[in-house]
Amino acid sequence: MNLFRSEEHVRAWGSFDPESAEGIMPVRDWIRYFSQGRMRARLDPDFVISGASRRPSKDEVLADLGRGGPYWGTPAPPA
Amino acid sequence: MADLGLLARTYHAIQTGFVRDGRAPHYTDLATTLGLAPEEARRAQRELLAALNGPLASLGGAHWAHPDTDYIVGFSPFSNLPTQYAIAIDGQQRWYGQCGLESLAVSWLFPGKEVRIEARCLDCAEPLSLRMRDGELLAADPDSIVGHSNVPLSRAAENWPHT
Repeated sequence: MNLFRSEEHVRAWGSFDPESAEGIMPVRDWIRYFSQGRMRARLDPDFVISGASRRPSKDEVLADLGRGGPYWGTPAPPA
Repeated sequence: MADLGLLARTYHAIQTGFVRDGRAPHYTDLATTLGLAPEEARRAQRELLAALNGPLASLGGAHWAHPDTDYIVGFSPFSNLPTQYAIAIDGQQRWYGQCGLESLAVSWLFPGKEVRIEARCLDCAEPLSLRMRDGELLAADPDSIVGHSNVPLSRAAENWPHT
């Protein structure tokens, strides 16, 4: 899971798997993905006990980004 | 699964150790922090890593030790092994992101502080940098930076070090 200077650089990368093209996103969208409630709460003393229920959830963030489906491991977004 | 309260305390001690020192505490450090005998702390750390890859996987992130050792390597969002994602807090570089994407979650662990992520592009080796605070992007250079996972996120847990 890496950062690149642009989408063109991802596609030119020697190890790029074309089947992973869906996983190219602007860094601002990835920042939103990594703003899930459970990722904000990692320093909470009770994180292990209640962290998984923090919102927004992964599914909620992906839906907000208009992403989903097999690549993401969530239901596909509405057409 | 081990006592959930002990796992929570162990997780918290490891995560706060990373935040404070830029590296994972050793289990002997955990023993001191948690008031346990060293062997009890070693067992708690092992049970925590197993649980995070099993019944506690819904917490997300990737957590593993070097094979056949008790040396933590990956503990989202940090890496105990230097990666190309160097992270500075308020100008001091002491941390490494587990990967480019988990680096974006580091700012949640340093409330109110400026987090700078610096790396080189895997394609061209030219630099890229991001400045963040409290989950907000302050600046990106270049502005065209993208993130990418070569492995579908649905399969990322199959091999965390590779992912």
